[in-house]
Amino acid sequence: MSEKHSSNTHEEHGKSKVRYGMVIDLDKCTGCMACAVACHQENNVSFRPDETDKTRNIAWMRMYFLENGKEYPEYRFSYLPRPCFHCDSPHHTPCTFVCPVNATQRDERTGIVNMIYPRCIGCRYCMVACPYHARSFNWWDPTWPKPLEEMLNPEVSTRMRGVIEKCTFCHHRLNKARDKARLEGKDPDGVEYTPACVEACPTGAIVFGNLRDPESEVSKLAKSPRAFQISAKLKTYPKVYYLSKEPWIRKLSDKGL
Amino acid sequence: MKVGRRAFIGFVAGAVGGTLLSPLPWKLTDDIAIWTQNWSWRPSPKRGHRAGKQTLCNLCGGACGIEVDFINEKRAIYVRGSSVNPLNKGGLCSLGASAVQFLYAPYRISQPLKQTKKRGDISGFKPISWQEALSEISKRLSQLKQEGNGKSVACISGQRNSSIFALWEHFFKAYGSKNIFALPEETDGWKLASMSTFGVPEPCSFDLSRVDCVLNFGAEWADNWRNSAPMARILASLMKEKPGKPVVEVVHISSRLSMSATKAKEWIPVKPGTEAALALGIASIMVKENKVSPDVVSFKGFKKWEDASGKTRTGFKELLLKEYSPDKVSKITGVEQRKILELARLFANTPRAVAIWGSGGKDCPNNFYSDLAFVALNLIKGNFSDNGPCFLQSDPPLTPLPEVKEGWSDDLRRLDEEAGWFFPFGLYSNAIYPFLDALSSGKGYPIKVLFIQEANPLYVLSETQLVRDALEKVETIIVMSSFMDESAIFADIILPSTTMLERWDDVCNISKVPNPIYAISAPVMEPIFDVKHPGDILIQIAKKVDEQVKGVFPWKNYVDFLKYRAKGIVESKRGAIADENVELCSQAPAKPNYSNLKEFLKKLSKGYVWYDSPEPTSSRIKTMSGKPEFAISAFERSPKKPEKDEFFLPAYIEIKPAGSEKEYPLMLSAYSCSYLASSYVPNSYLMMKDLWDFQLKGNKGFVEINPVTARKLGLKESSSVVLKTMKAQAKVLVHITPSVPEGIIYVPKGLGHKAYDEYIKDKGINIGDLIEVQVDPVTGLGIEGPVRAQLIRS
Ligand code: SF4
Ligand code: SF4
Ligand code: SF4
Repeated sequence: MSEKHSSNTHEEHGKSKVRYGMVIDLDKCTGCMACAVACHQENNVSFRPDETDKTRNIAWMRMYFLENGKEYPEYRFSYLPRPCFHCDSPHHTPCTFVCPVNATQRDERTGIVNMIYPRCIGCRYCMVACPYHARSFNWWDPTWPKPLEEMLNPEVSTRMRGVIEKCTFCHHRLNKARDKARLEGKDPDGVEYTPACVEACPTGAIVFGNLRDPESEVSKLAKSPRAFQISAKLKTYPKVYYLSKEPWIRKLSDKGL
Repeated sequence: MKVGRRAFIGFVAGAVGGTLLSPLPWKLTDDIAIWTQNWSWRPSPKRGHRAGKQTLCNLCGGACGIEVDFINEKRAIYVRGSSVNPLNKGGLCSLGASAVQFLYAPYRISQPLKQTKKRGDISGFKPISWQEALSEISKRLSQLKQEGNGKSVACISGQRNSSIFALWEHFFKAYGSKNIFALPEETDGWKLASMSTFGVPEPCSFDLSRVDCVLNFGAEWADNWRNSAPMARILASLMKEKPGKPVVEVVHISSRLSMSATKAKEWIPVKPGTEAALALGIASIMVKENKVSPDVVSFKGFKKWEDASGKTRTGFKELLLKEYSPDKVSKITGVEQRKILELARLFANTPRAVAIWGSGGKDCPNNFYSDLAFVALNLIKGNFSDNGPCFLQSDPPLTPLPEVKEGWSDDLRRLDEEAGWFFPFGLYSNAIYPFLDALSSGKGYPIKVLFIQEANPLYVLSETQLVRDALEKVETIIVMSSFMDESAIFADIILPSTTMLERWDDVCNISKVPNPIYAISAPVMEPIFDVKHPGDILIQIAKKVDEQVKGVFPWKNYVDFLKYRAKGIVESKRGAIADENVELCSQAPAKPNYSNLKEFLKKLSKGYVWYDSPEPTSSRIKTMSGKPEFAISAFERSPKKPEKDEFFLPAYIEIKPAGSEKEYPLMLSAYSCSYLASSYVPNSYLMMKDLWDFQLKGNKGFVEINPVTARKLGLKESSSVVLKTMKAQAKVLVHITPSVPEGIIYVPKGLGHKAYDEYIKDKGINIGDLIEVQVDPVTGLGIEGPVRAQLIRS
């Protein structure tokens, strides 16, 4: 299954000892959506009076609904929280590969796929290229009804109409952690930090860390027999792994590949 | 976004293929590039130093530790869970994560307002000063008291587990009214079940830290089983595989496949509302196979018993064997006999097995007999022995309030009693629906002044029309609320209150947690508007009513009152302040680790909680026999009592909804989700954002239907229908899902507001409008059972 190629790829980018990644335990996730609320709060993700057209709204952490396809009472379902997978495919991710203006790139020191908003020309190639629908487009200028603007986080710039946005693995938190490490005279590479979604989760379903550190919880969990990636055979090498003991969920992830 | 099995894979493969093979023409990109240069405006938040302040979240009445991030100590921007708190241990729920959205919500009320036009007309509100508002209210209150009409003042509070509720009760005692109510909770019924079984009105609670098997009868811990974040943490950790240990068997019993059901090791679907019958079926097998805890035999009502009048009555043992044999229970519940036997043996043979129960996520009381049935099953298992896993909650040793000498007179009666309602357990009951019924029908005496403190009954309670009719009858409605909610719009005077981050509150005990708990939610900032804490308002008003009331309100303000309360704990030298390493449920005795009030409050205001070890049940029992009782002794002393013997014991009672089956062939029930708020605090902006598009689409809400039912009715996914009950009707869309059984349709709680702003208002339907409440004849509590309904294609 998927673990095999993944452990190899994260090694391929030989230069860095750091590959930030995430493991989301679907057995623990209760679908409370605290992760999504916290993410969108932390990252100034805008909202509109009608958010029900999910092909138009913006979500960095989006919930997907999985079903086992059976009837009552054999029916079962699960939620699947989906950030950006920060794909680790060699040289390029599907999105960075198609961006004509280099507005989205992978930082090879960390493995994080970021967005440079002012560069983005809104062609939305990346949005189509992303197999995981992780990217959202700003169809409108964001506005926050007064006095809600007060709650905006200055560490994350607000976006504008016409650009793409997506989960950054809370990159600004990494930068802060790196600065702190530098000031303390420590090695800034591979510092530990916690994204907003991870700290929100009441059941501890999301674990984050350096996949290349064999001692990290995240790298151990990624090798768990319950671990899988979504559509691993597209060879996108997601750095977000899922855990589930349910065969039907695991089957969904690689069915038809 | 709903993604079924095929779609999930479909879009993945399709999307990649599409892009790589046929890129869009470059010309189009140019156009977009030009278009995107039109950045008209975007806010850029002021920069500054980001730092967190520790406190406690109590938005749901819980007590999760949180850290609120500020920019330059001024702007609150973000809330995270704090790990120093043993309840949430770091995480939080979507409501808690939204706390700053409520602080800066545009629908906050910024100053006191008075209605100058017709009640309910939002354009009629005119600002008044605090002084004007408070003196008007206190003048009216002293006048009414002087006239000997204190009973005509009432209150509905939305903050039950805080000292403010005790303060209201204190005020009403001194003032001379019994009309004090809280928003209903599932545990309202649990208290009365304990009153009957143990002689104390304290709800049952569970030590889930050391159990090996959980039979869960509709306790929707992953959907809504107060309090969300701690319950999700505790139950999810139960199911975790721990090396070298067998996984705890969690069996979920319910009719709808909730999130909690889908998470369970095994789900047993039952016919709706028959969970109690299954519990009794299990008890019956345990009795038959001699697997009952030996002490049970001596509990009143287990064997044949004699009531106060000397009549011999059937015992519980006999009733179980006769009425709840596997074949009978199988017929009632739809569960196979073999399965019932299997469950009974699992429960009987696992040393630490516990039965927990709930109201299917609705957080409203169950019928009295079904609560008794679950308590009885735990009794038979011996679960109330001194080391648990079941306990009765006990209050933290807070300083008692000053004695009220000229309190309630002997002939003073609550409005519902005056109107002719009688309930054997009425004295201890939060009988809010009978109160509203009496009020709306003009029975009893008129209510002149009604305080609504942070409760929003016009949305939160069911049978919205009844609530509205009742409120219409009140002379003056005074609403204390932070938000322009449905009830505030209906007020005559609005006294705007501070939000959680701006004020002091305390939390006394946490639902289902056996340890006595005390916690403090301290402000992390100054109020951003001209608003006050309801406790401060109440203290100010009380001091102006008259000398007698003033005499029992010795506190300067609400903080002073909280210090007075907390002093009791410090002086008791009991319990300890928990840190992150404390496993709350565990029996380890707590050793005091605080020395004085100042230190105690300082620690607690940073999100730490005080706790004590649970008290053994044997030391709490106050029944006449000195032991737990299966027989409902209260009936013996009651002027009204049932005829049949079986109604003196825990039983399964089928509740029949009103209406004809012919006209209303379906049954409609409400359900809750962890990501939808259905109490005083509404869904936040970001909670609305995350909603599934099969729960809300545009402004349309959904009704959930089983595929077979849908086929029979000729309905397709997203068909438009009118959902009609005897109470009301509403336009909705159809969502077909195999998570609900045939013939039963479901609507989530937490949508369909008629207030706030365009982000929340008129989105989906309020199921409370359509539901009928049945008043439990024993307790007076309102039961929101399923109601008859029909779907009309539109
Ligand atoms: S890592 Fe950060 S940006 Fe990505 S989903 Fe989590 S909170 Fe959002
Ligand atoms: S916060 Fe945790 S439990 Fe809640 S939806 Fe996210 S991953 Fe699931
Ligand atoms: S569970 Fe209750 S106390 Fe805890 S974070 Fe949520 S709203 Fe706050």
